[in-house]
Parts: sequence; C-alpha cells; structure tokens
Amino acid sequence: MPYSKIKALVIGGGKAGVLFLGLFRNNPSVEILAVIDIDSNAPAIKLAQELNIPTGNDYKKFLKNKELSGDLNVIINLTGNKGVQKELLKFRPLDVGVMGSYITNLLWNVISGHAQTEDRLIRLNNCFLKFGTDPDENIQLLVGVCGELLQATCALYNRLDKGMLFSVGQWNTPPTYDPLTKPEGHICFDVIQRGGDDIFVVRNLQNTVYAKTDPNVTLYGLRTYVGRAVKHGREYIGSLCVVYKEDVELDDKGKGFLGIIASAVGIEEERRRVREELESSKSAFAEKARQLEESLKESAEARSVTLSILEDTEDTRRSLEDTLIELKATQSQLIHTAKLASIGQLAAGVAHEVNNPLAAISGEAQILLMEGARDEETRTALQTIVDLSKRIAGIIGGLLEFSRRRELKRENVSVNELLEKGITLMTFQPAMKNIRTEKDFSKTPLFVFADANQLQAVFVNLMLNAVQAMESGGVLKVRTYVEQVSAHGKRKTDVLKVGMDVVNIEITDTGPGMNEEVMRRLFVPFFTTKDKGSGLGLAVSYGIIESHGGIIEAESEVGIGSTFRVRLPVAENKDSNS
Amino acid sequence: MKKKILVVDDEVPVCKMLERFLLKKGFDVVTAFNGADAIERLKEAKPHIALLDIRMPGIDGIETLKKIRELDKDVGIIMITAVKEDETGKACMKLGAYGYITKPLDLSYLENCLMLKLLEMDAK
Repeated sequence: MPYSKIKALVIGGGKAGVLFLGLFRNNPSVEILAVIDIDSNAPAIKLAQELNIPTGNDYKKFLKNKELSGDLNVIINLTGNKGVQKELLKFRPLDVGVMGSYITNLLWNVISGHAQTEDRLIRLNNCFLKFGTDPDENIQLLVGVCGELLQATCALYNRLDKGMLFSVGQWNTPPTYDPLTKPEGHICFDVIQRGGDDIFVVRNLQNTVYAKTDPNVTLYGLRTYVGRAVKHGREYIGSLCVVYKEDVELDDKGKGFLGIIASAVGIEEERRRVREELESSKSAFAEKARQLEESLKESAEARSVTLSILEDTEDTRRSLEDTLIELKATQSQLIHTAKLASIGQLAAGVAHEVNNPLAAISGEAQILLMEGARDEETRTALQTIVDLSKRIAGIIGGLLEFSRRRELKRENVSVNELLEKGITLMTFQPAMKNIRTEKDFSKTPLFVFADANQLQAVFVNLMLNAVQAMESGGVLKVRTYVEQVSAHGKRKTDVLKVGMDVVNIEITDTGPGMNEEVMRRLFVPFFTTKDKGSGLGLAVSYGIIESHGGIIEAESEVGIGSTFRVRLPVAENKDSNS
Repeated sequence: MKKKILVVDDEVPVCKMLERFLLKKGFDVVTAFNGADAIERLKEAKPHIALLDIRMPGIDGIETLKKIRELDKDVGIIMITAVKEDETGKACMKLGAYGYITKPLDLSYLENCLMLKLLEMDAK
C-alpha cells in the first residue's frame, strides 16, 4: 500500500513543540497540520508561522473545524498537562490517536537531554572562558564543572607525580580529605595504570576490593566511581573521576561529558608540561643569562677593577713618570752640579798644576832678566818666556772663572757706580794712554738687582775689550739710560718683555769693528780674535747677564767701531742700601 | 840688618826660585815645604815676612796663617796661590795677611809688596 503521511496536530508551543517541529518538519512521513498553543507568542507558534504551518490558540476549535482537522491522524500533546490529555481524549475524533505522555516523555528526555547537553556545553564553555594561564587552576575549574554537571558527590583529578597521587583538582571534597597519598590501592591509580580512553566505572564500591585498598571508599561511604585516565603526551599521568555516595548509573551522555572534560584536563596537563619545560628552559635560560650577567658583571667588575687598577696604574705610572722626570732633572742637575763641582775642582786642580810650574818657569826667567847683561836675543827670549807664561795663566784663570759657580749675592746695585769703578780700573791699562773716555750716564741713579762682583766683571770685560780694540787710540764711550720696552722696533726680546723698564749700559769703541762672521761667534766660549785672549770673557759675561734676566747685544760696523749693550731689568725696589 | 823672609811652599821649584830671587835681592831666606815646618822655622828664625802658599798638604796655608798669627803678631804675611779665589783672599786678609798674590808671580810686584811692608815695619 502506498505510504502516506501521518498528519499530526501539535498541541503545546513550548520547547517540546519547537523540538518536534525541528525533528519532523522535513520528515516526509509526517505532516504537521497545525501547532496549537494558548500563548500565541509561544516559540513553537512562531516557528510554525515561519514554516508556514497553521497555528491556533484553541485546539477544540481546531478539532471542531472539519476542514482543518479532517485528515488528522494523530494529536501530539506536548503540554505535559494531564487535564489537556483528558480533554483531548474526549474531543478527539474516533480514528485519531492521541500521543501524550509517552511521546512527551520521550521528547522531554530528548529535550532535557539536549537541554542538559546544551546546558552542560554552555557551562563548560563558561568554564573555559574562566581559564587563566595556570594549568592547575584550570584543571580545578574543570573538575568543578565536572562534578556539578554530573551531579556527583565529589569530583577529583588525581595526578601521579613523583610516585605520589596528588589531587590537583577537587570538588566538594570533605575537609578531611587528604589530597596527597600513596597511590597503591587507590582506584584512580588503577585507572591511570590501565590507561586508555574508556570510562572506568565501578559500582557498589563497598563490595569491591577497593573498600579495603582505597581508604576514601569507606571514609566517605562511596558507592559509585566513574573515572577516566588522562594523558600527558604519551603517558597516562592522572585520572579524572566523579564519585557518588549512591548507586548511580551515569548515562552515555554523562560519560561522554566526563570524557570531554578528561580530554580538557589532558590538554591542561600538556600545557603544564610545556609550561614546565618552558619554565625550566626559561629558568635555565634565566640561569644562563644570570650566569652571563654575573660573568659580565664580574668581567665588568674585573674590567672596572682592571680599569681602576689600570687607572691607578696609569696614575701611578704617570706619577712615577713625573717622579722619574723630576729625578732625571734632579739627577742631571746634580750631575751638572757635580760636573760643575768637579769642573770647578778640575779647573782648580788644573790651575794649581799649571800655575805652579809656570811660576817657577816665569820666576826663573824673570830672575835671569833681572841679572841683566845678556845679549838682546837672550833677553827677548827670556821676556817671551815671561809673557807667554802670563798668557797661559790668563787662560787658566779664564777657565777657572768659567767653571766657577759662585754664590750670588744679589742686591740693588747702582749701575753707574759700578761703571765708574770699572773705568777707574781701566786707567791702569796701558792702552788707555791714547784713549779718551766719554761718560754719558743717566741723570738719576739706575739700579738693578744683581751680584755686584759679577756685574762689575762684565763691565770690566766689555770695557777691556773695547780698550783692547783701540790699541792705537780712540774713544771709549760709556752710556747708561733707562727705557721702556716698546711693542715696536727691535727692542723687545724673549726676556725683556713689552712694557718692562730696562736699564741699558752701552760700551762703545772706535776700533776696527767686527764683521758678520765674528759677530756670529761673539759669545761662543773660547772664541777670540785676540792673540792674548782666553776667549772666555764674553761667554762668561753673557752667562752672567743672562742669569740676571738680561741680555747682551752687540752692534758693529767695520771701520767704525762696536757697541756692546747690556740690558737689565730695573730693580723693583729702588732702595740703594740693601 | 838683613831682613828675613820665610818662604813656605810645597812646590820645590817655586820655593827654590823664590829663594834665589830673594837672596839676589839681599834678603835672608828661610824655606819650608809644609805648614808644620813653617811653624818650626818661624820659631827658630823669627822672619820679618812670611810668604805662605795656600794649597799645601797637611796643614794648609790658611791654618798656617792662623798659627803664625797666634805665635807672632808682627810678622808680615803674604799669601801666594796658584788658584785665584777672591773669597779666600779676603778671608786671609781678615786673618792677618796683608797680601794675596797669584802664581805665576810678578817678581817685581812681589818686591814692591815686600819693600812696602818692611818700610812700614821700620817706621814703627
């Protein structure tokens, strides 16, 4: 017989109705004639309207309307209302079946299963939303939702760690519950050891061996255990379980749910492992970094210590260097002094060794000359001996002078006075017979801070040179004046600076003058143009004046004469009696 | 009366030369070659004038000068030196010498110095 549709009337626009519609709307075997509900806003009413299924709010009316309900085969009463059921049984047409409680229950189961599942899923989802970064905390949340939604007495997640069973997550456990126990005999331990993804169920725990081996069974009067092993990589590391004080048969859905949560726990364990590894590598890294930092610090310290040592060393080195320089200077000074001292001694020694024999030689010659009555030749020879002996003595004397380091006694000395004395000394020179002296002294006394003897020696030396340059007569001019060194002209030198007041002593002769070559070597020790000269006079004089902060200048014109100029700073304190 | 001159010098040629000179000039001459001998000779001979060389071994000229002065306030002393040192000269003058001459000696100058002193001594 051709298969014909079942025409159904749905009464009850609630969730069951919605579910019914959802289940059967596309079912070719079922045709929903209408959906009836008192509440025209019921969800199934609305859905029916969307699906172009007729709706109503009065089933009696519908049933009376033969047009609408003519083909009706079955009435589906989803109200769950026994009153409605009774009415329907009264009102139904004879050949129409009424499906009430059975189908309703079925649907309710489906619904509630769905709802339950939906609810569970929602709650699980909410649980996930609460997740943080700490896997153990997340596991705790999972265990909680597991216990709640499976309506357990308690829920646990036990991890096998370092040979101990540790309840990472516990829900609704009594206060006396010990989370850390030895694993042997515990059900969870067996579950872990068994492994696998299937759900491990033990009912009537009190009658099993676990009653003896697992203390919790008797402690807390547990009757049902449902658990599942949790993986950690490839290993089974823990078990998620729900326990009940009653005898409970967990349905597939419940078991499925447990499985889902166990997997979620597994994920958290994985995370934990990764985290641990990360932590350990982090800490290893941190350790390495710390070590590196330490060693860097150490090396930085070492470096800074080294640096500071180096700096110290550098400082020390520098100060050593300075000290060395000082020492060298001192040493060279000492050597110089020693040399000078020894030169002085040497010179004195030479003087002594030379002058004594000379005295004998010269003396004998003088005696012979004294005795007279010799021929001219002999007398000349004897005179030569005497003269040349004096020359040698002069040289030796000059050397002695040059090598001598005398204590200077410096005081304010009147230049004019010293020159006067010098001029007086000159008068004893034979050459002075033909020489006129011109004095051009400053009107006021001129004072310089100097050693009188040394200065005197210089003046005498210069005057002597001048006189000796004028053997056949001439004019010796001695002039003194003070001037301020100006920025212009050639009058400033390294020593005599612009603005200084300077005493000038000029000794001029009208001798033959000096050419460039002579001028160049004037102050060189032992340089002389004279037959009877040591060549030390000007060198010594130059040294003396230089040590007094002054300078000797020479000007000359061949055929005209020469001028020697001694320039010295004016004494600061013009007190003449120091 | 011949005037006596004491010549003290460790340089023998110089000493001999001076002796010859002084003898030719009509003086009596006593010689010594060191300070110690000089003192002895002085005590013995009682010269009018002493010529003292400064640089001598043992007691040097200056010490000898001091000692002579202690012994004889009147004897005229001329210091002679091969190494001219002004300070030394001044010091000797202060110690009682009346002359300070350098070698090689100008013998006529020396003669003048001697004559001057002897005239002065005669005048007293």
